[in-house]
Amino acid sequence: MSTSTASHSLKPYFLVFSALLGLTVLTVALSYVDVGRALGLSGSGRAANIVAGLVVALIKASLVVWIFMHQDHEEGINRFILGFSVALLTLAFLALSADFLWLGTYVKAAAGALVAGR
Amino acid sequence: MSDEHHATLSPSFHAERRDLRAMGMWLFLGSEVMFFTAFFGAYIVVRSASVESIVHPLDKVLGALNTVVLITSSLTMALAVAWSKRGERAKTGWALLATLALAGVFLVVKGFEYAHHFQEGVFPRSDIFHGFYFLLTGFHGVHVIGGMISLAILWVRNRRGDFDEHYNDPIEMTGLYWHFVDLVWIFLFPALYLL
Repeated sequence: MSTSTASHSLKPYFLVFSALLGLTVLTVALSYVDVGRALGLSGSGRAANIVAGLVVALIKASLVVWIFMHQDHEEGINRFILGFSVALLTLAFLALSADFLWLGTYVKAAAGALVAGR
Repeated sequence: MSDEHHATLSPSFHAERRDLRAMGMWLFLGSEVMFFTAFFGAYIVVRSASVESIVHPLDKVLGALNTVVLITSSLTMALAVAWSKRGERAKTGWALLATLALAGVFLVVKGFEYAHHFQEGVFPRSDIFHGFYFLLTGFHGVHVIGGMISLAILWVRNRRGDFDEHYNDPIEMTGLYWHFVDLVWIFLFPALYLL
């Protein structure tokens, strides 16, 4: 259950480290490419790049949480705490995105005024 | 602070105490997630309203460099935790020191970036993008400084012989915190420098 006395191999840490380096290179490389056009989604603007960047960041985050932070063999209660935090975070971001997708005009005008207003 | 009687305590006591500490740490990190969610959410709203209008003013190379620095520090932190659990005090000390040094490198690079912004007359109030940039990287930087204080204390305590293969919870808990600081940067880097 817990990692209290576990004395496992160091190899996974070096593998995760290499993967994180590789994914960092990938993220930077993606920022120089129009991902939407490369996938044949013309007119998607920067949305495809934003999604691709966040997906890579999520993969990196999962590697850190699972291997470096030992959630692969952590107690159930700690998985619940982590899962609940991530669920709340996702809910908050989905609610914000929903505002932009379905109440678009009004919210964008309000936020746009904020951006322009300095 | 030092735990002189720990060698005489039963293994199950150590395991139970470690699990309670880990739960406390995960709860703390949960509250930290919510802290950053608030600012990130506000940033998402502002960026969504002006996706095309913000031209990236930040140096991708410095951002990427600092990403590599923090990822490397996460590796050395993970090694420190693993070695402390094996009772390898010397190796643990070096890994803690390496993590501390890499954290310092991160702050120096960030300091150069800030200095460059200020020289160019760019401040938090200059525009809303930089408002969020300084807010998010500033709070992240404070977390790095907090981690460095904790790492320095751990290094001294490790040298003094406070930890062994039975008792090393402070190193493991600081490790969890340090990986979280790395996690936040994993999202901040693309959000602020690339997307």
